[in-house]
Amino acid sequence: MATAELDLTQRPPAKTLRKRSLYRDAARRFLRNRLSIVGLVIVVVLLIVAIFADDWFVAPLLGREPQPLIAHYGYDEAFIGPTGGFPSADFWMGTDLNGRDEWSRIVYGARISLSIAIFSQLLALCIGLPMGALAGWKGGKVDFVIMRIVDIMSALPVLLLAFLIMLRMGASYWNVLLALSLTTWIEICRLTRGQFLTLREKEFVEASRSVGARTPRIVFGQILPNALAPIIVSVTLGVPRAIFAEAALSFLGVGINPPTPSWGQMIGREGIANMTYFWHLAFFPAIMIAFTMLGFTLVGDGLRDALDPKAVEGKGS
Amino acid sequence: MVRYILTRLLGLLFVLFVISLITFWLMHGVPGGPWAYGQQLMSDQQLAALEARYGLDKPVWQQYLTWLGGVVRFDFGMSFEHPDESVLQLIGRTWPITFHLGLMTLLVAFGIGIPLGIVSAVKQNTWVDYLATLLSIFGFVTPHFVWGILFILTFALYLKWLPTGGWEGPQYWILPVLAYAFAPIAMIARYTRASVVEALRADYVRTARAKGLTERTVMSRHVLRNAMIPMITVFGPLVPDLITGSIFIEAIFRIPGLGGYWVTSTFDRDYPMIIGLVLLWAVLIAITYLVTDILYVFFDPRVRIH
Amino acid sequence: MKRRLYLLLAISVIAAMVLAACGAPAAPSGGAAPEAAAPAATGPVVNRLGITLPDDALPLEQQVFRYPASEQTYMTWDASVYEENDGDVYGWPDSCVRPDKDFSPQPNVCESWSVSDDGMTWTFNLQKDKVWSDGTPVTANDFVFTFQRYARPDYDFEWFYSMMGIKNWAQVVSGEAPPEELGVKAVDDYTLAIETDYPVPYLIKIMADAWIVPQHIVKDRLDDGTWALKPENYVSAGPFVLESYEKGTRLTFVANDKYTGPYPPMVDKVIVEFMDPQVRFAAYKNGELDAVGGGYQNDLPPSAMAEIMANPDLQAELISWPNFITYYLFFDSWNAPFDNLQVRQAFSHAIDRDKIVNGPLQYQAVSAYSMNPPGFPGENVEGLKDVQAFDPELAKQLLADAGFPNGEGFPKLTLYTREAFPALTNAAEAIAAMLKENLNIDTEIQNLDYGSFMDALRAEKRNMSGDFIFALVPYEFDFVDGSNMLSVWGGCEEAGTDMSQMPGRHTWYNQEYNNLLCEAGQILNDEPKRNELYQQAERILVEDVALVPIYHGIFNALVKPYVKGPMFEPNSKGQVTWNRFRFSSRESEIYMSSGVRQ
Repeated sequence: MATAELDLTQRPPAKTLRKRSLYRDAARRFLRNRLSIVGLVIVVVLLIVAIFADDWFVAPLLGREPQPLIAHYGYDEAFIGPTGGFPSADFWMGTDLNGRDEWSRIVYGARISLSIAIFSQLLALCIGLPMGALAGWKGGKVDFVIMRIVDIMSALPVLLLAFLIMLRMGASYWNVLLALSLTTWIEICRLTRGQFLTLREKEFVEASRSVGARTPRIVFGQILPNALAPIIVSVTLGVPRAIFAEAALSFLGVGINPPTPSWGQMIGREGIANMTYFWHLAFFPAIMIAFTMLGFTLVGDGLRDALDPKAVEGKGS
Repeated sequence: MVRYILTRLLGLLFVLFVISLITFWLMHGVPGGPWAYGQQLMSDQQLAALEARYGLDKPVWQQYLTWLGGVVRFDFGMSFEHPDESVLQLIGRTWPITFHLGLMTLLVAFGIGIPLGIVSAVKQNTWVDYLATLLSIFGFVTPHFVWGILFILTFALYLKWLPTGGWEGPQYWILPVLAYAFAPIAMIARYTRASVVEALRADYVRTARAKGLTERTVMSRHVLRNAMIPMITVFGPLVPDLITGSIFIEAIFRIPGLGGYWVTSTFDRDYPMIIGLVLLWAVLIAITYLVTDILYVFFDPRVRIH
Repeated sequence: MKRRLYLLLAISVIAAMVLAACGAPAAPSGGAAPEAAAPAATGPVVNRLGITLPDDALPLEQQVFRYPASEQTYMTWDASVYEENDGDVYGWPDSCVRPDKDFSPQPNVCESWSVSDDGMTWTFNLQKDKVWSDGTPVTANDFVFTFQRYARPDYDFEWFYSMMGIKNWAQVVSGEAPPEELGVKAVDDYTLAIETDYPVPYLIKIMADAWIVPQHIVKDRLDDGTWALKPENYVSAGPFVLESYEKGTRLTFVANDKYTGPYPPMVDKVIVEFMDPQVRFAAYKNGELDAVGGGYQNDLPPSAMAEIMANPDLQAELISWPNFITYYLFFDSWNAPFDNLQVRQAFSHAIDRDKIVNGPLQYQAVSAYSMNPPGFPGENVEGLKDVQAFDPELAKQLLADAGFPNGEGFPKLTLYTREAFPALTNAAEAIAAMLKENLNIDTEIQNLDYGSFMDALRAEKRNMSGDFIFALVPYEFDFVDGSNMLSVWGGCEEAGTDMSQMPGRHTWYNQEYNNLLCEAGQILNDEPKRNELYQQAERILVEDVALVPIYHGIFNALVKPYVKGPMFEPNSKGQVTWNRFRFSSRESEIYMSSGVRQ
């Protein structure tokens, strides 16, 4: 979080130079920040755990079902241990009520929780970025219409909306993803629009326009790279929020369908209900969610400081 | 100013209209109905009788017009979940409790979060800062239902200081407020720290110090005042969020508030209540943004409303 | 500006401190918890009905019994059975007969009854000195009105009373006949007659759920049930009368001093606290409740049971007894792939019930191989035990014979559950794991809320849509008779009726089964003979794998040791039960003592 002292007047105006050094500077600043490094390590470790839970990437070549790598057992292999067994040498995080290895479920759960969180943010980005860019660049009627849509969407209560969507379409991985991104794209849209509004008035855009550069060139070549910084931050910080939202949906019984594990579902279903005695059923997934949030939050903070040391915190809730 | 507010309110009416349309379409697409389902299958005749009883036998657009006709007369219909109360009465009964809880939570969150943020900003990169950061991250990353159950286990069952739940007097307020406030405290502290750090670095602070003003004057007149501006943006949305309640907190602590209805109304297909809640939320959001914008003017002389 | 900001900060800090100060040792209140056995009051305790409580009874102000429930919508049985608040049934209206501990009907408002030789006319003689709590006499006309209210098309328990076969029932429900033509008549103020279309041997058992409605207050037969939500309307004929309804918080009942009848109350107050099931065990341990569990909801999850079993004090407070409930898998046997008997048989042999009842449902269940649970009239638990016995090799073989060797080509399944509590989802996951291990079939579990589930079930049967083909669902008895639980699979209906309109809720049909139910229904005064036919019918059900029974539930309840009374005397099977009020006279048969229950 310790931001480097930086002289902002150094920002070079020329496009190529600006692009390269903006991101190179940012990377340098990011890596100098100890907390961001911690965050990055957490995120990378979690991603490795999620990806290498089993050998899905070679299994099809060998023509067999994926075998666990980091996980010890399959997430749905029941009755391999005692019912509600406490952590032990054989079962690092204990076993759940179906005698499944909690460690393996945590590892596979990483895959579901992280992918839902990341993909929902990317999906939100895919909706929010073009909409925001269109509104900010075109202005006028287009802007008016898009902003009214944003107004309307942001005035809908998130949980109730997600709930109605889940009840209407049924609980599944893809529907959770959709419900989460439908409720987050507005923020990205707002941010992008704000960036485009400011940037399109800047001298370097004026300059390109006056020399006859075409719209796509200006938008993709000049404005977008400069507008991206706060959006990257917002997406990064959105990941932990999405993990949380998935946990809330699972707690209410409309999240990921069992036996596929997600951390939110592990806490929200048997975890909370059995917390008073089988504490490990809630503790480990909660710790994992906490670590993930910590990792992404630190990375997000670091990115914000690094990308735009002068920027004021983006809007979050 | 008045004209500005009026324009905004007119915009709100439009938003409310569209939102009611969306919600109507969405909620009537959910399978099932507001009636009780027995163990046996309903006969066609029974289903028809029930649909007629709840006015759901007509096409959705017609139901919408009927509803809209009521709304013009400020009649939002009767709740299906509590058929002796209108939606307004039901909200009027439950919301004050939730509002009370939310307000206390806000006070506690700001009361702890802001000083925590300021201290860690002023003592930047010392152990105080790290401790505060750690604390706020801790609060931020743990779901409040986990806090709720942990608090019950600790303070009610183990220490026997407080009741496990209920809403009968001050001793019943403490645990839910604390559990509810944890995340906002963390968030407020984080953003306060960031804003104050930002303001501390600004030229006008350097100038003020150079003028020889006391550190206290610099802090209050220059740093904090300027730090308030970005904070308003962030803290505004917290308010409607907290005063409309959390289903988790209210269920775990047995608080007879509005929080649970955000979910039970969908489960019970309590259509008038669903749409009532959606509109309530929309109005609150609109008011929040309006107040936020007015506060900008108040704190930041550079912003002018046109 | 500076002042204002500091003022704001100061106020919030002070507020926070005030709140924290309130956190100083505050007595966990919620009614006088008689935990610390107070010395017994001087002289015997006499309650407001003039009944002297046993010698060790606590003073009257401590005769308060508290238990948890979830708040629902209505307050009376005639408004809705499924959305009625717990606790008001027995407290308020009183019924014709009451079941004893063995579920055998005992005289209550109906003091005696007789049935005509052809079995089609029942005559009930009512208690003559019974009044509503506003002083109005309870008469046979209240019963007539009650049944007329039950026979209305938008009533959610209408199907249950239609099982009584009352004359003109269907016509009155559909509005083709006026309510006066219903076969329930008042011969005089204290004589009630019920005529049926065919002999209904178990009618007297259903009369335990004839909860009288005050005609002088409701007046409108078609009232939607909101009448009882107005406190001034809520008059009582039962042992208790409503004192207050704090919405979202609690119901408080006090002993009804106008009560006359066989079940006079002992405790002075009954408080029903509305609570989320997750926190009930904690509230019980904290002394805020006198009893927990034994109800519809899973108040005592596996962790609570493990904790109780590890703690001798809690174990002494535990009461466990079998519930008549069966959780079973059902199929759409009218559509592929489950239209193939071998596939259904493969499923029935692939599931190791014992692992489930010793695993996630430990202390909560016994393995099931039949529809009727142990101890239920007409059950054949022993005889059917081997039909669907766990045999993975046989299961594999059957699936291969059905054309799916090692599960190849079998579609991916979704196992639906209905408002599953966490441990039930665990059971469903265990089933999925066993299907994977033994049959190599992939199954995911999807939980639906009650409305969505029943809607899908209905659509499946009516339209044979084929997208709701596999689910785990319970059926709990409504009355203790061999006909009851079998009725979800069919009923007395002629062959040739449109299958989608056949009785029962499932997509399974067998005319022989229906014939047996029909035949059994005609047999009067010979329950063993009837049960024999029910056993034959159940064998068809199990052998044709209409269902794969998984487990029968066990009720667990914790009751504080100072709660005593006749309620805790064992039944004829030696079981101590803490039945839900509807199936017992629970609240009338307990009192708060200074001693400890044995």
